[in-house]
Amino acid sequence: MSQMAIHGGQLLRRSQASYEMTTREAILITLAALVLVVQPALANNGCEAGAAAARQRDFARAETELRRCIQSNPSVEPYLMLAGVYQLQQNTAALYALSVEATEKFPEEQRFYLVIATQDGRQGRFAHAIKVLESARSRWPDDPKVKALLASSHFGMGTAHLNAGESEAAVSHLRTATDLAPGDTEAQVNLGRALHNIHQRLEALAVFDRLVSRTPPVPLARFHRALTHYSLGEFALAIEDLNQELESNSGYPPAHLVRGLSYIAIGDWKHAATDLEIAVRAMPDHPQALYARARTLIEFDELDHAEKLLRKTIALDAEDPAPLNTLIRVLVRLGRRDEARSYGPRASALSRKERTANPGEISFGQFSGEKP
Amino acid sequence: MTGRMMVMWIGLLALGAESTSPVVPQFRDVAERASLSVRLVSGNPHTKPYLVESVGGGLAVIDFNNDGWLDLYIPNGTTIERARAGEPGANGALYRNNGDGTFTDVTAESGIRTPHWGKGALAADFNNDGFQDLYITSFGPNLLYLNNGDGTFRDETARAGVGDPRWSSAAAAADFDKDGHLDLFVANYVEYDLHHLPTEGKFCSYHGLKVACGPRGLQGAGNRLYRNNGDGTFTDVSEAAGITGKEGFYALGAVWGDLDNDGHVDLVVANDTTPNDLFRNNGDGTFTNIAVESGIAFSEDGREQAGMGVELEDLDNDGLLDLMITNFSDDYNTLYRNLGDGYFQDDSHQAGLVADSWRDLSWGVGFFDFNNDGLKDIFVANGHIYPQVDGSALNLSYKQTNKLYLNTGARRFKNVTAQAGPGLREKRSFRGAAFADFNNDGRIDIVLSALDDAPTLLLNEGSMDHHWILVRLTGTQSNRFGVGARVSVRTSGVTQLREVKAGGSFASTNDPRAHFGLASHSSIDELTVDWPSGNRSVLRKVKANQILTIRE
Repeated sequence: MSQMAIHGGQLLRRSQASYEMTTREAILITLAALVLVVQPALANNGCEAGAAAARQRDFARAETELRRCIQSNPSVEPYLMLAGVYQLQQNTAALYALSVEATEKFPEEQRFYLVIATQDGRQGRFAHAIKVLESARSRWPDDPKVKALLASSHFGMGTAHLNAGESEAAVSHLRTATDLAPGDTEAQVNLGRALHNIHQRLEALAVFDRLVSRTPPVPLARFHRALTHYSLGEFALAIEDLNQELESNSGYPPAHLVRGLSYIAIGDWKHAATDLEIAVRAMPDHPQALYARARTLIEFDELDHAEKLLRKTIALDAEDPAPLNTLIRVLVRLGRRDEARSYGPRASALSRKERTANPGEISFGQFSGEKP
Repeated sequence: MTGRMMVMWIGLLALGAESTSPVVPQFRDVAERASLSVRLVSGNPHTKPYLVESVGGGLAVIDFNNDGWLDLYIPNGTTIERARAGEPGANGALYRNNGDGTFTDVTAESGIRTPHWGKGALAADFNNDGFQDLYITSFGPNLLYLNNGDGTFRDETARAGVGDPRWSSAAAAADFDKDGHLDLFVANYVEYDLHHLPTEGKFCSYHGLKVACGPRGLQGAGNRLYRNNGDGTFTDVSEAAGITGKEGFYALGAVWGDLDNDGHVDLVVANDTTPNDLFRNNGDGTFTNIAVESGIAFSEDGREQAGMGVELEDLDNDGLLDLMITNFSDDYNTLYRNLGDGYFQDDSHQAGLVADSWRDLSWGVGFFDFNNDGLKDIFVANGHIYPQVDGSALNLSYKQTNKLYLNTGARRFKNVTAQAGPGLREKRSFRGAAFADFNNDGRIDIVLSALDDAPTLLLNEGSMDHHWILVRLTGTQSNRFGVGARVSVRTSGVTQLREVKAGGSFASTNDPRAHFGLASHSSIDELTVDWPSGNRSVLRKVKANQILTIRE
C-alpha cells in the first residue's frame, strides 16, 4: 500500500493576485513622486527639469535629469521621482535596482521595500522577498501592507517547497503565512498538505477539519482531508469525504483515483474498479491511476488487460519496482514464467535502489493525488 | 473448470454462510496469579537508541517433563553495557506448569544458562528421545539444550555444531529430508557490532524522529539450514540447499509447512523491509525460492513490506495452508490465501484486515480456533519499536493492544478485540506470542512477551458450548512429535486441517498438539493423520472434548 504524498502544485498554486495587488499599490509611488513639490533646494541640478520631463512623459530626459539630481542632491525625493519614471516606463529591472539602492540609503522609506518584495515575489525570489520584508517589519511591525506581503511571500516560498517535495521546509513557511494571514484558506490548504506529507497527520487533519467546516466550503478541502484519512488507515472516512467532494466537484478525476484506492483497501474491488476506470479515462497517462486500475483487473482475472496497463505504467514510471513486481506475478499467472523471470533482475535492482535511497525504517512509494 | 476455480468453489462450499455474530472468547491476563514474573530485559527501557534493544524476541511452549501440562521457556536479553563488557545477560526462565493454574520457575535446576542476548526459543525433539529440547536464538551464539528427561538440560551446542554466532531471530524445525530427524532453520537478522553501533545517518530517522538506526543501511546476516545427522550432530547445508539468504534480506520470522501439498515441507521466511522468501522443497535436498512468482514476496500492490512474524494454517478449510505475515505500522498485516496451484493471493483487503491493522506494528501471530466454532481465527501481537512515536503527531503509540479477529466464514474476519475481555485491553510493546491450551480445557490460551515487561498469559475463559479435540502425535518412523504431520478432522462434510509445527509466530513455539474446534459436533466423523514418513492413520467416530494421543 503506497503512502500518499501530496505534491504537484497545479490545483492550489495561488495566482499572483497578492503580488499584483501590491504592485498596484506600488504605482502610488509614481503618483506620489510626480506630485511632489520640488523643494527649493532641489530646484537646480536637474531635479526640477527631471520632474517636468516626467510630467511631460519625456522619460529619457527625465531619467537623465533625475540621475543628475540624485548625484548632487542625495535625498529621497529624486529617488521616488525616478522610481515613478521607471514604473511608468514599466522598466522593472531599473526600478528594482533603484529600490535596492534606495533602501540602503533611505531605510526609513517603506515604499522601496514594497517594490523590491513585490518584484521578488513575482519572480519567485521568495527568500529575498522575505528577507527584505522582515527588515521592513522590524521597522513597521503592525503595518498591514508589510504584513500582507510578508504573508504572501511565505505562502509563495512554502508552496514552492511543497511543489518541490520539500514538505518540511514548506510547513515552516506556510505556518508563518497562516499566522500572518489567518483568513488565507489557500495557505491553510497547502499547510495541511505539507503537514500530511511529513506525517504530521493529526495536525493536518485538524487543518482540513477547519477548512471543511467553513461556509462556503474551501475548494478541495474534503479531497485533501480524504487523503489524510487514507494515510491514517481510515478508509471509510476517506470514502465519505470523497463522496461529498465528488457531489460538488464531479469532474475531478483525482478524487476518483483516491476513492478507488480506498475501496481497494476495504476490499470493495467492484466499486474500486468503477472509480479507477473513470480516473484512467480522465488521466490516461497517470501512472498511479493506471496501476491501481491494473490491480482491480488482476482481482477480476482480466490478466491480459491488466498486463497492458502495467506495461504502460512501467513505461511512464520506469523507476517504481511495484508495477514491475506485479507484472511478474501476472505473467506467471498467464503461464509465461520464463518471461516473468526475465524481469526479475530489473525488479530486484529497482527495489534495492528504492530501499537504499529512502531514509527511515520503512519507506513506501510516493503518491501524488493530483495530476502531474 | 480449471483446477484453481475448482479449488475456490470447493473452498466456498466448505466455508458455508458468513456468521456475523460469532461467540467472542473472553481473555484475562493471569500471568501474575500464575507466577509468571520474569521481566524481559532489552537494553534501555525508555529510549531504545539501538536496534538490538527494540526488536525483542519470542517464547516457547514446551512440555519438558511430559506430564501433559504445557510448560514455558522465556528467553531474556541484556543491556548494551553488559553485553559490551562481556557480562552475562538476564537469564531466560523455564517455568513448569503445576497443573493448577500456577507455574514454578525451575530455571536454576534445569541447568539452562543463557549468557547472550536471548531472542527466540524453539522447542523440538531433536534426538527423538521423546523429550522436547530447546534451541535458543540469540544476538551472540545460539544454544542447543538437550532435555535429559529428568527436569534438567545439557548444553550440546558445540557438539551439535549449531551455535550460529550471528544475530539470530527465529528458528524453526522440520524434517525436510524425510529421514525421521528434525532439521533446523535459523533466520538471521543483520550484521551488528556492539562496539561499532550505528548512530548517525539517513537510516536513523523515522518520519522526522531520530530513532535507532537500521535495519536499512545494515548488512543482512544471512540464514542457515542445519541438517540433523541423527547422531547428535548437524551439518550446515545452507549453500547446498540454496537457503543462504545471501541477498542480504533481514530475516525475522520463519515457519515450515507443506504449501503445495506435495508431501515435502516448504519454508517461509518473513523478512523485514525486504521481500519475503518462500523456499519450495524440491524433495532432493534443495530448495527453490518461488516467493516472487507465488505472490508472497510483496503485498498485493507489489511493495516490499516489513515482515516480522509468520503463520501458516488452513483458514478457509479448503485443504491448503494459508499464510499471514505481520508487518510494520502504516501498513497492514498481509493474509495470503493459498490458491492451490503455486499461487497466493493477498486477501487482506476483502478479509477486512487492512484498516484494522494500519496503526499496529505487529509481531507474533497465530491461526487458532479461539471460540471452537470450527473456523480458525487470527491473533496478532502488537507493539512499536520506537518509543519516540509517543507524543509525536504520527498518531502511533509505542505500547499497543493486541488484536483478535474472529473468522466469520466466507473469508471475512471481524475485529473483536474490544469485546474479548480485559486481557486484550492491555497495552504493552508486545513481541512474541505463543499459543497453547495451558489448562487443558480445550480452549487455546495465549502467552506473550513484551519489552521491559513481565509476560502476559491470556487465559481463554467465558462460557462456550462448543466442542473441541486436542491431538498429540507420537511418531515412530517419523520424528517423535510428528512435526510436519497433517491432522485432518471431518465433521458433517467439512474437513479441517492442521499441520504440526515446531517454530513460527514471531521467534516462538506453540502447543505441539493439534487443536480443533468442533462447534456443535460431539464426535468427529473421521480423523486422519498424514505422517511425514508417508504413513497414514485414520480414526472414525472419534469423541470430542478429549486430548487424544495417536501413535504412528
